[in-house]
Amino acid sequence: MVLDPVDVVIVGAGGGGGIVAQELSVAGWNVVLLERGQSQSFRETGHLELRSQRTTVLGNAFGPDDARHVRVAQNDRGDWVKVLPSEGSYNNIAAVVGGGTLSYGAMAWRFLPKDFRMRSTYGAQQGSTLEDWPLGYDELEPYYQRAEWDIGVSGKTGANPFEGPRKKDYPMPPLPFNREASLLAPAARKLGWHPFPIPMAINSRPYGGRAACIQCPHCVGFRCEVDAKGSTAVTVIPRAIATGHCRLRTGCVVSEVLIDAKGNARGVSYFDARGELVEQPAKVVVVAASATETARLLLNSKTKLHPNGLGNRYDWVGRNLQGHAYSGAFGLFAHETWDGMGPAARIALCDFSHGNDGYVGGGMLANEFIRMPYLFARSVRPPGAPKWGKAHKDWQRTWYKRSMGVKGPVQEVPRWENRVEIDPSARDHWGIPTLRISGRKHPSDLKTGKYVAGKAAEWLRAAGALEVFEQVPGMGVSGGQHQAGTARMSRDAKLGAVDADCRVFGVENLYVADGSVHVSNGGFNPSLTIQALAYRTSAKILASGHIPKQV
Amino acid sequence: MIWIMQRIARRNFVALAAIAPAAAGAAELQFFSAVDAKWIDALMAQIIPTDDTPGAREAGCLNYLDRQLTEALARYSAAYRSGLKEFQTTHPEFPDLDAAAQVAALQAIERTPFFGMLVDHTMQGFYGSPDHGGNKGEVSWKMMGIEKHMGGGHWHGA
Repeated sequence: MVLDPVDVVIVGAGGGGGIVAQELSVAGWNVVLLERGQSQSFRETGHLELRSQRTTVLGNAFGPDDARHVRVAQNDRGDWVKVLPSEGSYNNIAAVVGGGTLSYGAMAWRFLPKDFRMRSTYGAQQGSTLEDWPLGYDELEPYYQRAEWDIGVSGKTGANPFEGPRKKDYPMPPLPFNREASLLAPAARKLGWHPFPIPMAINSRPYGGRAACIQCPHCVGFRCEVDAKGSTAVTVIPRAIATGHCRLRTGCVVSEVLIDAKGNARGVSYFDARGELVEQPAKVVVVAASATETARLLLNSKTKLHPNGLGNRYDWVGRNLQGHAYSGAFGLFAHETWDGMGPAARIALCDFSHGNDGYVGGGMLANEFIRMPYLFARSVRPPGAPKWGKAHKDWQRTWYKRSMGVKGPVQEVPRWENRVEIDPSARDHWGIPTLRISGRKHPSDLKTGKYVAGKAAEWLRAAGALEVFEQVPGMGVSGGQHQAGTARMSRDAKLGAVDADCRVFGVENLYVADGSVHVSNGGFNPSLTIQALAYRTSAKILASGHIPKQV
Repeated sequence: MIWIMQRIARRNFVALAAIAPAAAGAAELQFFSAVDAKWIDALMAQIIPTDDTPGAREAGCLNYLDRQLTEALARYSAAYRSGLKEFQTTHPEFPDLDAAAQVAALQAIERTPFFGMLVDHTMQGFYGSPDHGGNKGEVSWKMMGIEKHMGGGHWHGA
C-alpha cells in the first residue's frame, strides 16, 4: 500500500527525531514521525528496577522486546552469537516515543571546544580514526542555547571554568545539592579542582508547562513520574503534534529508505502496527534511529546506484561505533552519605576532560545517580567480595547508605574495526536483516580510563572515604545508550557518511539526526549535543530548498 | 572494614521471632515440582540466609524464580532442569545437612554456571519489586532502610 505523500518522513521519535519533527512542523511542513515503539505513560512503566533501562533482567519497559528483536554479537572467542535486547551485548537503546530521553538521567552537557578538535589537539593515533569534526563549538553554540531553552535545562551559569563561551544563561537554576555533593564540593576545592552542579534537562522549577522535580530516587533508567525530565516525549513531540502538521505513528518498523531513478530518496517502506508493509512517499527523509539502527537502515537500503547501502560508497557506514569507556571509583564511609534525594547525581568537574599529560582526551567526573538495590548488589563490590551468604547480606546492609560512586564517560578513541554490519543470515520478526556488532576498545581508552579512575578515587579519599575501589572499563566494544559514530560527519565525501549539514553523501534529500554523525563522542553524555545538531540540521533542511518556503 | 561494621548498629533490627514461618502458604508452583522446589529453597536459603533480618526464604525468592521461569526468565528453564538434576545427583544429602555443611558444599561449587545463575536470580527475587513475586513484605528494602523511598513502586515524599 502506498500512502499519501508528505513533505518529510522522520525515522525515530527519540532525542534527535523529535526535535526535527517540531522544527519542520512549526515551519509548516507536513511531517510523518515514525516510531517502532509506543507512547508509554508512567503507569505502564512504573518504578520497576528489574525492567528499567539500567537493569533489563526481566526485559526492558522501554523496549525493544525480546520476542521480536535479535542481533548478533562477536564474543571474546571470536564466535558470532545471537543476543536479545535484554542482554548487555545487544547494546540496547530505548525503543519508545522519546527514545533514550524518556528513561535517561538527563544530564545535559555541552561538549567542550576541544571535543570537536580531537585530531588537532592530540595528533593522529595509531590504530584509530581520530579526526576533527567539520564544525566547531562556536558553530554549534547557538543550537546548544536553543536546546537548553526549548527543552529546559537547569544549571549554574559560569560555574564550569572549562566550558566554551556561552551567550545565554541556563533557563533554570540548578537542583539543590544533596548530601553526597555537599561532601564532594569542599573535597574537590581542597584538591584545587573546580566542582559545579551538573546541568540537567530536569526542571528545578516549573518550566514549559511541566512540573518541577520532586527529587524521587527513581530517576535514571525510569520514566519521570511528574514529567520533570525534558524528554522529547513531553516537550518537542507534543508541540509538533499541536501544530496540526505532524502525525506520529507508533509501532512502525522501517525496513528501507526508498530511492528514485536519480539516486535520491523518495520515501521509506515500513511495517505498520498491524504488520503490513506500506510505503510512505516523502520529499525529504530524516533518519534518527540511533547509531546502531540508523547504520542498519542505511546498509539495508541497497540499490543499483548505492550497491553498498546509502552513504556507504567509501565504507564509512557502521564504522567507528563508540560509546564511552566509563571509569571511576566508589568509596566507603563511616557515616551515611545517602539521603534518598534524587536524582543524586548532582556534582561534576571537568578538570580531567583534557590536558591530561600523556593521555588522549579524558572525561568529566560526576557523582552517581541513586543506585537501585539489585544493581548495587551486583556491581558495587570490591574485588573478591563475597557474592552470596551472610557476608553478602552484611555488606549490602552495612554499605548501601555509606558508599558513593564517582565516575565519568571517558572519551573513546574511535576504531575503524568497531562496527555494526548486516548479519548474513539473522532476521528480526519482520524478516528484516538484522545487524551484528564487533570490535574492541583502543588500548588508549583503558589507559585514560585508569587515569580518570585514579582521579575519582583521589576525590573520594579527599571527601573522607575509608576505603576506595577503582573501576575501569572492559575492553569490549561500546555502544548502548551513548552509541555514536557510525555515519561520521565529514567535509570530504571519501572520509565520512554525511556532510557537515548531516546530509548523506550521494543522496540529496536524506539526512541523519542522531549520534551516528558524531566524529568523536566527547567526554560527556551525548544527548544535548545530538539535540543541538538536530536543531541545526533542521535549520539546514529548511534552508535547503527541498520545499518552497511556506507562509 | 570489619571494625566499622561492628561499630555500626543496624537500624532495621528485626527479631527472628517476628519473621513469618518459612514458605508457609506458598503459592502454587508453576515450574518446579514440590521436591525440586524444596531443593531450590534450601539452596537459596544459604545464598541469602535468614539471620536477625529475613532472608531469601522469607522473601519468597523461590516464588520469584518459579514464576519468572514461566515468564521473563523462560530461557533459563533447560539450565535449571539439568543443573538441578546434576546437583541432586552429586549432593543427595544437601537438604538434610546442617547450615555449616550446606555452606561448605556450596563454596565447593560456587564457580559453576548453575550456582552463578542461581545466585543472580536469588538476588533479583530478594532485591527486586514485590510485583515480580519475591521481596515479600519489602523485606530487603526494610533491611537496607529504604522502604520509604521504594515502597509500593512509588516515592511517598520525604
